[in-house]
Amino acid sequence: MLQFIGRRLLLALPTLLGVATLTFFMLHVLPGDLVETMLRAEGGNPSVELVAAERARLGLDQPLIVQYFEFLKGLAVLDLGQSHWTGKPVAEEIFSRLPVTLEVAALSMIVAIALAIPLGTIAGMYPGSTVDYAIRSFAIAGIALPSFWFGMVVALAMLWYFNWLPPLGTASLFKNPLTALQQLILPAIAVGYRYSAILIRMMRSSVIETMHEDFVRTARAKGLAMRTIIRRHVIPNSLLPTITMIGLEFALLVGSLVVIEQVFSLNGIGRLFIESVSRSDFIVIQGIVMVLTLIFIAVNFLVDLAYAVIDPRIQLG
Amino acid sequence: MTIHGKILALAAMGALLLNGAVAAAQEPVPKEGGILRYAVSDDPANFDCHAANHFAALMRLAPHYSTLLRFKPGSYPDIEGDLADSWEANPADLTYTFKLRQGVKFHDGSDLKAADIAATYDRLTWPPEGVVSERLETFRQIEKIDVVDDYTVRFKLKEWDESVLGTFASPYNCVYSAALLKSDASYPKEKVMGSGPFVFDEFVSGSVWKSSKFEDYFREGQPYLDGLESYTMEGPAVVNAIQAGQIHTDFRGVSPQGADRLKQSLGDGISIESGPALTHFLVTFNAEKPPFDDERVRRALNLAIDRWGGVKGLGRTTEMRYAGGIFLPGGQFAASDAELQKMAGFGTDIAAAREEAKRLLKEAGQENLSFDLTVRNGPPIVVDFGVFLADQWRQIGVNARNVVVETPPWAAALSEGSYQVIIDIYSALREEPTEQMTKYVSHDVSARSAGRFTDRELDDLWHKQALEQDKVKRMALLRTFESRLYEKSYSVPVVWLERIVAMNAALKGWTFNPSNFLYLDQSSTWLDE
Repeated sequence: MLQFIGRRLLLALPTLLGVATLTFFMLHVLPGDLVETMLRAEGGNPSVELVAAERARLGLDQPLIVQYFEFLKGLAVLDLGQSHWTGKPVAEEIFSRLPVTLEVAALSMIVAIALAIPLGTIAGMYPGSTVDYAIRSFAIAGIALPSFWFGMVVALAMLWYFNWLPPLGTASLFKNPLTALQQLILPAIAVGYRYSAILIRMMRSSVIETMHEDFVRTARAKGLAMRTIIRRHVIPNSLLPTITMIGLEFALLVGSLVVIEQVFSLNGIGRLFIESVSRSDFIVIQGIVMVLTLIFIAVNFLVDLAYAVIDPRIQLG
Repeated sequence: MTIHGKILALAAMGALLLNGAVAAAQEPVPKEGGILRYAVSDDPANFDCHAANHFAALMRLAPHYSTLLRFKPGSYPDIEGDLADSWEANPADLTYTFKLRQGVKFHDGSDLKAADIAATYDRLTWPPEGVVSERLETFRQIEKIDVVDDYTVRFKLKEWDESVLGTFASPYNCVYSAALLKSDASYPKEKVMGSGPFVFDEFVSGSVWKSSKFEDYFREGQPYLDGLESYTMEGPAVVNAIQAGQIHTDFRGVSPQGADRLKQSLGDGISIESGPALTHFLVTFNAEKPPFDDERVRRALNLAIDRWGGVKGLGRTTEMRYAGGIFLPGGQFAASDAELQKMAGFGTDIAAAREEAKRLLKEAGQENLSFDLTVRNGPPIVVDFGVFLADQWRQIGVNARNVVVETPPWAAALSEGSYQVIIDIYSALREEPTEQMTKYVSHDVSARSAGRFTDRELDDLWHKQALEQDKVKRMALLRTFESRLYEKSYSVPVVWLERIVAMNAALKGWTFNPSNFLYLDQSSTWLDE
């Protein structure tokens, strides 16, 4: 196990370096300049000298390669630098908003799993039946509807029929759980539905496959109750590919909350990302990408560990 | 006077008094208390008013600061003293002398005196190293600032300029503490400490800005509110939040559809005020790049735009409601419709104008003109505006490809001149020609200028009107400026927006006006809840 962990950690380093390099250079080939955006975009009229002085102050007048090595040097000591827009440490900007994003992602995943496992199992148990068709239609609708649109419709429906919207501001799930849950439930439903649709289809396919396995036939022949067969044999064996998907989807989910945070005015990392793009605050964008990459690596690592727990046949290391 | 006459005079006086009493009785008495909640579209980059150039920053910062003068609540565009008790303008020796109120306190309890005004305007006019002043051009006319005594400050100008007085009322010119500036000229970037009606409490980036009533505010009985909470939000979320009663308003305004929806759902629970906004969309032809270095090509493209017909269609579904020149339509400096219709691009016979446009293009050898129109991916109506322009030019056989880009590349294109034709937005703080015209003078005269051109005749007219004290003569200079600008068509205004502010009916005392930048200190706002 330790060998496995060590190898994965070593593999993470070139991945992070690759992501850092790609992100840095891809961002810097884009047109646009933070100083121009800050001083001029809203009708300001800065002098050429002022623009040059601001660029120098922020180190943006340095050759690109110098800026790149400065960025890497910071990463090596876990320093993501300071936002060129606000002057605050990037880590502070990100970590003050990351909890909201992780909370929405986690709640969305709970909604997705709560829908996907029972519905996927039922659909897989009775393929071709009316119930199966109904569940598949539900799943296809979930994939087809963009989360942000569904979120807007859900929010409007709550407003028109119940005159209710999630409370404004940012509440911590640990300090003020009730308010936080009220803020997070609608986005979690909007995003969770979309992801449940993908998982339902995966779970259904796995269940259908498992139902044809020899051990299921044997269990039936032994006279075991269907409910027991499903609970003890079918679901655990069908979960493996679904868990892989859950892991991958969770990491992608964190990155894809950008629009939904905007729709529900949630103060998460997605909103910070949009703000930073619109301001050309590259250093914050780089920081967000690095943090998301770390999350992606960590979740994949946890999924690998979960395999060993669910299926003892899998050996790590 | 006969007895009969005396009785009549007494009766008239009585009627006047009664009238006044009735008016006073009708004026609702402001209620104290309550928290005003409103939406703001963005966070400020930092807390320094002097470096800010966005109304979103002012919506957060203005309640914490006082200014030398201010726009009089309930009486736009009149100006009154804020920190100044009185002032004296002396064109002969080029000075403005301000007498300050006594007993004004900063939020830290210290007294506000003339030294604070001088230090503030020194910082704005001659910023020390590391300090950004977005107002350098505004105060280019100030030669020196003298503290006469603790409560008197004098500004000496390089030459007399009518527009300077109004700049003292700009909410961007927050008055800072001289003592704090002395120890750190950059302190306002990180610390909010002024003498305004509200004291800063908390700012959660991307979420909320909170402040509470300043008990020692110098205006007796104000502010009425206990506090302010402004939430960072925009788009459909704002209208939803107003409908749900979570916020009272968004002072920037809502779309016509948003206003209709709120009226429909809330009825008397919502109050909607609307009128022309001090914001217009303009289009700039890059006069440094062929074929736009040819005046005939630029004028042809200007002539092809049907402004009057355009706003009739666009105004049904968007805020693009008014055709106008470079000054607020119907405003104190605007040309009348009749005057405007005589100028290039503003005629009412669009068929004839387009024929002339085709002729000019043919003469310039540009009958099959095709170019990129750079459009900022900002508010959705900017993209709509780009589509409108492309359609107007298509009708004279010109193909304009709309290239929609994010704000940073758009700002870069504008400043580097790496565009062919570009859409620009100009939101002015107030109706003041000297300031507004900086958008339309030569590029080397004002950094704000959108165009890449040098036209000394326009620059000269701009300069002359700033010095002209006779209103009629000044208006004539403005018309000459406009006429030449549209003829040369370096950069031309096309449509003006409508400002629609939807407010919860409980919100009172706020002054509707065409600018997004004014009356944001909320000193006279109150809640009838």
